[in-house]
Parts: sequence; structure tokens; C-alpha cells
Amino acid sequence: MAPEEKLARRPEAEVTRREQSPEYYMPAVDISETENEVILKYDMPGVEKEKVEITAEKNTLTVIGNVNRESFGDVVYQETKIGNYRRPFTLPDDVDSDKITADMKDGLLTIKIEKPEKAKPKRIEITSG
Amino acid sequence: MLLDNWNPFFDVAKTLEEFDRVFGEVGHPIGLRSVPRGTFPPINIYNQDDKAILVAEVPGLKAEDIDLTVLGDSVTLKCERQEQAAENERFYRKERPTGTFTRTVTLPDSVDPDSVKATYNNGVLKVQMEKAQEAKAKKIQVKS
Repeated sequence: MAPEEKLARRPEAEVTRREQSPEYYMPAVDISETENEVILKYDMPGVEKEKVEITAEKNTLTVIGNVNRESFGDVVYQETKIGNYRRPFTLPDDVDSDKITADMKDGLLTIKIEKPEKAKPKRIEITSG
Repeated sequence: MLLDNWNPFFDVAKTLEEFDRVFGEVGHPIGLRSVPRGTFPPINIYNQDDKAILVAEVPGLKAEDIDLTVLGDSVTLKCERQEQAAENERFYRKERPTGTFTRTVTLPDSVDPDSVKATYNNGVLKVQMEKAQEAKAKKIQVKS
């Protein structure tokens, strides 16, 4: 299975972790890939850049975003609760954590993971006999 | 938490949505539930004595791309969130809603459109509106 597919298929044991830390919400994430990298986009509104924690440890990439608690008054109508965000993903074995970059702007966190060399598509030359 | 504003289905919907993400369909670029239930962007409305505050969560936009209109007690929010895919980009999981969104909500009272202050920070649009004169509570003298 290609590493990118592994990434999309196996979010790390979310259910048990949620029991240990019930105060986190799971943010919406888009996962896509290009030839050279895998891109994750996390929607974390209300989170400042300084309040994002990203850890890549063993096989797991964990993202935590802490929101500023703000009181706006009495609630009249509420479609979303305010809370901190957390969502881990499983990384393929051969990803180098130095090759992970992250950018946070306007509540949108973009993480780019450069694919290990052997996962990049290679053009194969046909050498005729 | 205010019990009279508790929506009994809110927690269920949110939990189901989160379960969808955990157990989402394997191998498909678009999962079982690729968009959150309900509408986007999620909106909360708050009431203070003389002000109404509307908060919408929509990360990844530019302030000038948000179209906000206020008329009487109604607020209309229009925005577009398009993701430009790179030429060879393939999607494996798409949970973030994209496209054009228009939402109209009704406030608890009429507001003064000239008093509207809107800010967009960290993906959160916050709109503060002063209530219109006739909607402000007046203290009534009780005469004996």
C-alpha cells in the first residue's frame, strides 16, 4: 500500500484517546498528495499560530490547537461549541520528520510532508534492446 | 451552560459526525460524510444588553472576500472558499467544506446597521451590532 494511502486509512486510535481527553474536538481535515508531498489541511478556527502544537513521534503525527476562550454574552443560537482541537494521524514508517513543514494562517493549518524518495513517482526509461 | 438553549440533537449530531471521521469509508477520496451535518459556516449568536454578537467560523479566507449585509434583524453572510488544486494533486480525504456559501440568520432584535463592527481573526468572523433604538430596553417608572 502506498504511504499516502496508509496515511488516509488509519487515523490513530481516536476512540480510546477521546476517552482520556474528552475536552478536545476533532477538526475537519483534508488530505491530498502531489508528486512530492502529502498535504494535510486542518480547519481550526479561533486558534492562533502560537497555540498550535505539532508533534511527530514514531509513527504518529499529532496536532493540537488551543483556542482563546472568549465570552460573548448569553447564547441565543448555537451551532458550534468552542473548544480545543486535536487530531492525530498515522505516518508511514519511512517519513523523515525533518521533511515536515507547517504553516498557519486565519485558522487554517497546512502541513506538508515530503515523501520519502522511494515513494515519489519515477519515470522509467525504455531502453530498447 | 444555559439549559434553555441546549439543543438535544446538537451533541448527537456532533458525535455522529466525529464517528464518521474515525470509521470513514476506507480508500475513497470522499468519505461517508465529507461535509459536516448542517450548514457551513457554523454560526453562534449571542445577546448582550444593548448589543447582539454574531460569530461565524470560517478559516482560510481573506477579510475582503466576506460579503456581510445587515438589514433590520436579519444578517446575511456570503463567502466563497475555493481550493485551487495543483495540477497533479489527488485528494484522499475531503472533510472541509468548500464552495460558495450564503446564510441568512435572524437576530433576537433589530440592530442599527451603522453600528456594525465586523472583524475576522484566526478564521473567526465576529460581528458586533448595537441594537436599534426602539429595541433597547427602557426602564419603566412605576408610579403609585
